[in-house]
Amino acid sequence: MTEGAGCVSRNDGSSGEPDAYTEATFQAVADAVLPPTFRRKEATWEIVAGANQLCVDRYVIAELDHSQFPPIQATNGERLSRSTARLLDWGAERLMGSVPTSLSPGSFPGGGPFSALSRLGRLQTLDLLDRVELSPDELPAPFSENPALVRIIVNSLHQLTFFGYYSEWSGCGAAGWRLVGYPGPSFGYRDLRGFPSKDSRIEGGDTDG
Amino acid sequence: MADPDVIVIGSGGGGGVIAKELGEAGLQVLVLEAGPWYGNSQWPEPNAERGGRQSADPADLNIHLLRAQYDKREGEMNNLIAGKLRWGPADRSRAPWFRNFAQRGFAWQNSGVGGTTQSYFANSPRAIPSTIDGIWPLSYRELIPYYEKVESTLPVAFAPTTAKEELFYHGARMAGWRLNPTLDVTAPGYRPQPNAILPPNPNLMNSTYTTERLSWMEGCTLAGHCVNGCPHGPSVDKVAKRSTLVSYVPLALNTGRVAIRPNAFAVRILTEAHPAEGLRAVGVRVRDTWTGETEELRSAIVVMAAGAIESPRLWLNSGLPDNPWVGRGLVNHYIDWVAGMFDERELLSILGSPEIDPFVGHSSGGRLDYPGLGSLLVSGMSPGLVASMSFGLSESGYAVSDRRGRVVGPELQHWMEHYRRTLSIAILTDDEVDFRNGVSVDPVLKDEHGPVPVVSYVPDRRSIGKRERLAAIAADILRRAGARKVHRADWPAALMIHMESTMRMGFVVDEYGEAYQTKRLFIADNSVHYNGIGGANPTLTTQALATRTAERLAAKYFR
Repeated sequence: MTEGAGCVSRNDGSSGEPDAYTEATFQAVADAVLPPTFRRKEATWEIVAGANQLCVDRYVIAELDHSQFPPIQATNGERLSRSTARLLDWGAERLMGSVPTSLSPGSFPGGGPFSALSRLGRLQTLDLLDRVELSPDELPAPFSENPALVRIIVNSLHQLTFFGYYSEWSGCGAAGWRLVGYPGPSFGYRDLRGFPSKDSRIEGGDTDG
Repeated sequence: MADPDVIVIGSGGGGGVIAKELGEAGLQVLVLEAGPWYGNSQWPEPNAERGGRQSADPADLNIHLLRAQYDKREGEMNNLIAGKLRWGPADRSRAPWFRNFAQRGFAWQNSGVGGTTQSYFANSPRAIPSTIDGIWPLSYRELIPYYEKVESTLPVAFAPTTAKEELFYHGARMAGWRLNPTLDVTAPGYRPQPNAILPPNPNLMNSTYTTERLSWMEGCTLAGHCVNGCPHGPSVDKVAKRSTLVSYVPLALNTGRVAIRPNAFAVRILTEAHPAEGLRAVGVRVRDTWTGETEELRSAIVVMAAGAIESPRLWLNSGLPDNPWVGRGLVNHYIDWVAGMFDERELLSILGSPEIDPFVGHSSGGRLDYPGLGSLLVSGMSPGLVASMSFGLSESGYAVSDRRGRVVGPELQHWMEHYRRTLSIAILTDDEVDFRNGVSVDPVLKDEHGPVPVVSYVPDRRSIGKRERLAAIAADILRRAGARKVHRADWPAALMIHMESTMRMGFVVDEYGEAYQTKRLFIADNSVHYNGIGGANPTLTTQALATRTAERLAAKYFR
């Protein structure tokens, strides 16, 4: 796994937005679960942009903040993305306290302990949050009220990153559909290969049973 | 409509059906729908402005609007947080409606006229008979006439074969399974899906017709957008995939006695103590999702068709009588997902083409049923949905050597680069009713409609065993078909797609769907199912029961 996010710049040249802490943390998530990769194209290798290069972190932040889970009354008005960033740092500190963890500092300036971890360390943190028996009183708010939410968030971080990347969403360059060869909205396909049996039409509610 | 005979809460798989049946029986019906109405001239911008109040005129249905709104792009349509087909208010700038999950999971549901049938695969199998007979308060034989009526109304037809079905059937045959092209499944076997999708246009393979022209004609064009929302057809009532939005709702409006009011969230069932009947329903308090105004509407009968989460929530938030089974007994088919990756050469020899192209054809056109275990569905979706559902969602963490769990990084890119050569199989388990699973209301958290639902599901040991066997059968079929790599998602148990049995017949309602403890209150959705009907997709059975309930309701109270 290639280390460091600096090897490929974001397509719009940006490196952060207001609330640089949350932005940096979500860039570190995007970079961990869908990093840039190489793929063979004829005789050469080409680089395939990762989720961070395509600004999918912004999609994930916007979706989490729009989702309102948990309802705003349970978060003291803090955006869920920021609560999530703090949760990831909480997990990173717990990880670093239990196993030797490699660091990759400086990749996501403005981020906390999670953003300073190597890709492997960030994935280990997500895994820890996904699996560990969490005691509610240890967790930061709003997760202390609802430990299941931790696991829901870990799923959402993956699902939203993948959905943002492989659907038509385009933050600073689209990848998904073209990359996988999906033609997008269609009027139809001429791929009728018949029916597996001759009697396979149900007419007027007749049954063969 | 002043004081309708019946108010129906919800216009999805059950509500749309009962509205049409009651209208045809001569009753005045008002349907309350929480979400928007796509494809209706009264709401040209359904997500941006309040639009009309209600529609009762089939001339309001507008295929050009439906086509513009159902634009077939997965991010626009299927995003569960801000997409057009989400569980939330019509105004997409607002948050979706919150459900509190006790375990990792979420509910894949749609608000809007047509409900979740807007994005369903339209799979319309009957229940597995052995899960009805001697178990439900009514027999499979009693259900058959109602199945037949729904099958001819939607209509239902066996699905055509495209590449993904051909490969699935090939694998199933190689694994020793037999073709079982029946509607009444008593033995294991594979078969084409009985789908609520119009048969293919007879000119589909005739290249003198462009596919665009075909998409404006009657009949399926195998465009593969079932799950994204199908907009193809010459008019709304002739759209190829038969969500209730395009099937039962137009028929309901044609009766001249049904009005449907979108953007109307039912927050309370109104009751009175009647000297002869006892406690009985007399109306509904409803909240306008655009203005926040509430009003009380009166009717002789109330039908809840709000789905297996919202119907028990509405009961509990209405202060209706205590019943330990309200909300309890939830089943969800403990769904899972298995994918196989194929080589070009292998595919050429079986299919005559180097790709499967899982985005072609019905979203699911073939199935294997195994009474006592459940069902397998060959399935194909657009890539964002495939990536997030196949590889982003798991109970078992990151996949390591056992090829089960979440996939990230280069391995994810590798799978997705082979998207066009991937065959996916959904697993529906014949899971067991367990009193501990279900829907309650949150003691603390509320939204604008009252205490929010809390959803909890933990499979029991037998359900876990059945799912393991089904996953092994799915993997075997994929390998026999030639897959060089097989992956299992191991979806979280609380992933809610096929929610059933939270207001069970025999416990909360009688065999005709009327509540034991509140007269004149009926339920016509998945929640009345006594059990998970063997892993068969629930919608057709809900529609058959809604048809039966309508017949009874009209005879009992209006004759």
